[in-house]
Amino acid sequence: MFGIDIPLPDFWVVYFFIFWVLVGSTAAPVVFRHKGHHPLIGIVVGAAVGALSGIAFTLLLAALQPLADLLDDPLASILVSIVVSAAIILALLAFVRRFVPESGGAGPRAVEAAGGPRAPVTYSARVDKVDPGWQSVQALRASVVIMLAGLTLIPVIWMAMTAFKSYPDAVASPPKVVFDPTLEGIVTLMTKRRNLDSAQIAEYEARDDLNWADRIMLKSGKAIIGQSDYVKRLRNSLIIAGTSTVLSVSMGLLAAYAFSRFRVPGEGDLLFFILSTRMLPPVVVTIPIFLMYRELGLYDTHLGLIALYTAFNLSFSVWLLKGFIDEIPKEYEEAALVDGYTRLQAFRRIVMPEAVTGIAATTVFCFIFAWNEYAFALMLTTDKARTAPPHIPSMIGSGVVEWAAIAAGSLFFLIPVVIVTFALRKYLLRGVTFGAIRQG
Amino acid sequence: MAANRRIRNLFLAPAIIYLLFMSIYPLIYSLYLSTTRKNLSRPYQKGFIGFDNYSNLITNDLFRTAIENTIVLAVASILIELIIAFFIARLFVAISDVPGSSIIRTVFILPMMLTPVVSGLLWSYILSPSLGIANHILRELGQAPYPWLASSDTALKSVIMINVWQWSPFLMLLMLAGLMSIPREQYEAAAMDGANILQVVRHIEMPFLRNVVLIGIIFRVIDNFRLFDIIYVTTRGGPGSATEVVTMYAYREMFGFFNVGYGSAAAVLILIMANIVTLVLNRFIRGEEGNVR
Repeated sequence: MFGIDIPLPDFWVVYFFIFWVLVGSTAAPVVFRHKGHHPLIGIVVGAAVGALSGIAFTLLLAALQPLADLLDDPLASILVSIVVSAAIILALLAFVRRFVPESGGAGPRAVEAAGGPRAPVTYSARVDKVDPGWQSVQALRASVVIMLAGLTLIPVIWMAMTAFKSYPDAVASPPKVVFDPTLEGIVTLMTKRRNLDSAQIAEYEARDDLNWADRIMLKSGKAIIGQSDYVKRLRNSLIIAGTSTVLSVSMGLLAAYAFSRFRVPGEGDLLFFILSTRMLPPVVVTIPIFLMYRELGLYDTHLGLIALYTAFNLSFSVWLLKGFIDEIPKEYEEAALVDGYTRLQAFRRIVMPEAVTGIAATTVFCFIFAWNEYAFALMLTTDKARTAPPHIPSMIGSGVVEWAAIAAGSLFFLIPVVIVTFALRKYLLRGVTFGAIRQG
Repeated sequence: MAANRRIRNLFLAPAIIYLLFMSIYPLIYSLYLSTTRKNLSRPYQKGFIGFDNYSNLITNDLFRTAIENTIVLAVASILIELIIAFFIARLFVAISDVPGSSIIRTVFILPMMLTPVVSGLLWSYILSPSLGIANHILRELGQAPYPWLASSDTALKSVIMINVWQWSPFLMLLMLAGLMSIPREQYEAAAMDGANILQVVRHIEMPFLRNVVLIGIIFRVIDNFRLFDIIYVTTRGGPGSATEVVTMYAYREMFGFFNVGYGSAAAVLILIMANIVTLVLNRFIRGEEGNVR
């Protein structure tokens, strides 16, 4: 990169480059706003400063090549370069801060911060929060967090990229970071194919009834002969996760209501028993279930997996829903009962509408747990009812490892998970601790 | 009142009966199986053998390795996760009033929600010796390629790394909740008194985090004893017995050799181990609550 021989892989340089631009463009606007300029100018100047320090850093690295050699250990030299580059950007930002001229009149922001007459202070008026130094530190922290988040996501991003690689790109050594995106992996995932010889390829190319998927496969000399198992597995996953979720949430709702509103003898023990069923390792449960299912003809059936998933989600939904129902004031129903509602009516008309957010969150969690489940599906199904999780790794087994197809399969499978995670972010903590911890 | 009781029982019955059937039955059947010689590939070999399966297990070298690996995996993962989670949680608390921080937080949490199989696959692609990007980066750094999952010296460490990547967010989320519940006044009072950062951590943050973290550790201990997906996908317990864990061992006995009696005994031992740890930690939490309140 930049035509300079650098002792770091391009990847790291790019990564830190983004980091500096980010730091610059978040920290500088604070200063500009404070001095009465428009923050947009700050963003532009900050980004420029970040880019500048990125270039300065690269030049410095090239100049300090002997130093990097002296350090001998490349990892240590990375650490040194981080420190050096941080120093560069901080110095540049301080320089910018000193030389930004005060704008003529006080900007609207400044009035707001000072609590002046035009705009009342609507959020916190704490002195440290309007101090530009403090705000810049916050911007720095936020940038660090963003870059760390990027780092944790690299594996997932890498997989998403692989999903769009062609077969040679996916198994290229060294791995390709820049590549021509193709849908080959996705088509491979969804279809069964056969290899064509050169005469057949020519014949296929002459045909004009080919759709886009056929054309993509033709490029690597293959013809599509049908739909792959993956589509079937995904459908199984949907059916099984969906049905078991509905069952476990409805049973769980009733039980949670009873636990929340009535005195149940031995309530604590009963609840603990319910929780403990969820904690059983799958291997402990599978063998007896496996033997039982073989007797009952439930092995490798949708019903069998649904029954099992319902059980393990039921304990979860009882716990989570009990927490949500506990939060609805008892007085609502008592008033309704006085007005002549029966218990059932009060439950349906008062509690259910109040608990609807909780029910929705529980439903989505149950769905995701069933969707992600692997061990039971691996041990209790072979083909007819097999879900996607055990199927995806089994694609490795058959001959050439189609990493692009595997990545595409994983990607499709993850999309609902990612959407749900973002949608449920307020309830995540509660969900993963069975409602034991609520805030956050 | 009688009507109430009828409704209560009506509401409770489906869930309780269902769970009893789906968990107590398999559990009792497992206990029974673990005292027999039952083997699915030899249908006529039956018979009660008492605790022989258990004593065979305990003297079996591979099973011992499996237990050792499980414990190493659990302890190492949880310790590393705690440290990482604490630092990131503090960072998030500091920026909790920056707009958009809840979105970034969710990005951080994402690995925890990913399908474990997929994260296993993901990492086996990244760590693959020749075409993986991990070794590519190492080569670019001038380091010798690391064998990751392929060598018996490094496989367990690699699995721990994957485990940490996936589950640090869980403890981070818990600690975040704990830290957010600390009243600001406590920090301000500490600043007035001139407390340094270590004192703040030790005397303000630790007490608030204690119970949350213990609950988190219980969850993680149970999870680690149940850990199966990642290991099955990445190494299947290999190379050799480097990443053999108790669930893998039980799985192989049952579905590889159809030794269901012996396999059940191993499964029951996992359950007992997880329960002991949970009970001890639970005692910890209760004891502390008794002292404080």
